[in-house]
Amino acid sequence: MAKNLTVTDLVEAAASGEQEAWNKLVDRFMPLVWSVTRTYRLTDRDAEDVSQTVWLRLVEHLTDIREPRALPKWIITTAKNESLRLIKAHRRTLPLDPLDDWTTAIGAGTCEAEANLLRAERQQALRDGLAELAPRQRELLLHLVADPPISYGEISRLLDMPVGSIGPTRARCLDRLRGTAAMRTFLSAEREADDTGGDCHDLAKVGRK
Amino acid sequence: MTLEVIAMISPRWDESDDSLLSELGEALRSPEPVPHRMLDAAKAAFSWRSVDDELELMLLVYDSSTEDEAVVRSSFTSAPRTLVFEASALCLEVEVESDEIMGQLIPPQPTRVTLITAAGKFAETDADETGCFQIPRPTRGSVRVGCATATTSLVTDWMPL
Repeated sequence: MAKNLTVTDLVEAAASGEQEAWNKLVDRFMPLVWSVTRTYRLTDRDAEDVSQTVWLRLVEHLTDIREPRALPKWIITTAKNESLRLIKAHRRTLPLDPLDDWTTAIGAGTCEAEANLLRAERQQALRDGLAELAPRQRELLLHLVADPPISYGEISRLLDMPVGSIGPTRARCLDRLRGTAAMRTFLSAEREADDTGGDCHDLAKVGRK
Repeated sequence: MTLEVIAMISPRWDESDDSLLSELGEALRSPEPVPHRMLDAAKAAFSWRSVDDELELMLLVYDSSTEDEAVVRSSFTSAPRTLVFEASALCLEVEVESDEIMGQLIPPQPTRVTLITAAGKFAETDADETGCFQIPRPTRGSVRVGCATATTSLVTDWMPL
């Protein structure tokens, strides 16, 4: 199986019964589920329950996903709703001071949580976009973001590319990255949200580099 | 300066090459690895495809726990959580109690009822002549109800407890 399969390919293959494609979906999108559960500071046990809910639900509805490219969004929303439901359920079983409104506790930091979720979605789109690129483009970008940084001279030697062409190639690769299906899907959804977004969205934007 | 103004003048990461590249670097350095147990469980979930077992799926159409928060907030008395599942010829309404699940099938008919967890069959019982049943539940995790009537076999969507 080629490495740069799109999410649409993977969803179709999994829907037709390919375990291997399902495993790739899990590997690719589990970091999203994980970051949602971290955002809401769930225990590992609760995080496991949320994850189970997300994947069991997805497995039953693979065949009726209309827009596979919106899957990251669906995963975030499902994990978020389930995290909030667990938080509410736990609060209900605690001896409650009637003046201590639990909705305040959940509401506190909601904008921060939304900003975290948006960042997680954006980073997922970047990883998915990178996976869509041609191997040589991907390799250059990986060298450029290496930590600790690698000099242009070293990159030139590793990729057998003149130092002078690294800059222009970098710009071209980044444009390709912006043009990938994963990034276009994310950016167009985000622009839509910008038009209708409230305070939380502005806060999320401020958090953006 | 208002948040809106800051948002407007902050560089759009998708427009500046430097910010795009630095964000890409961050995205690739995930702060914390996902526990292996979670990955394994998620991969194993694939074996639960009902289509493979030729079961009809009863879709979740109502869950009181996901109702509007304003409604829930006003009710300090905690009513049991109610869920409704529907298939073409059968409807199932369940109430989740602390140690069991009470259900009613509409229309009533002789039905073998199974409670299933991600680990397999958890409990079994028969619905009575009014379509009602009670079945023990696990304390946590996701469950689904399997219904075998005289003519067909169905299974509900998963419900997280």
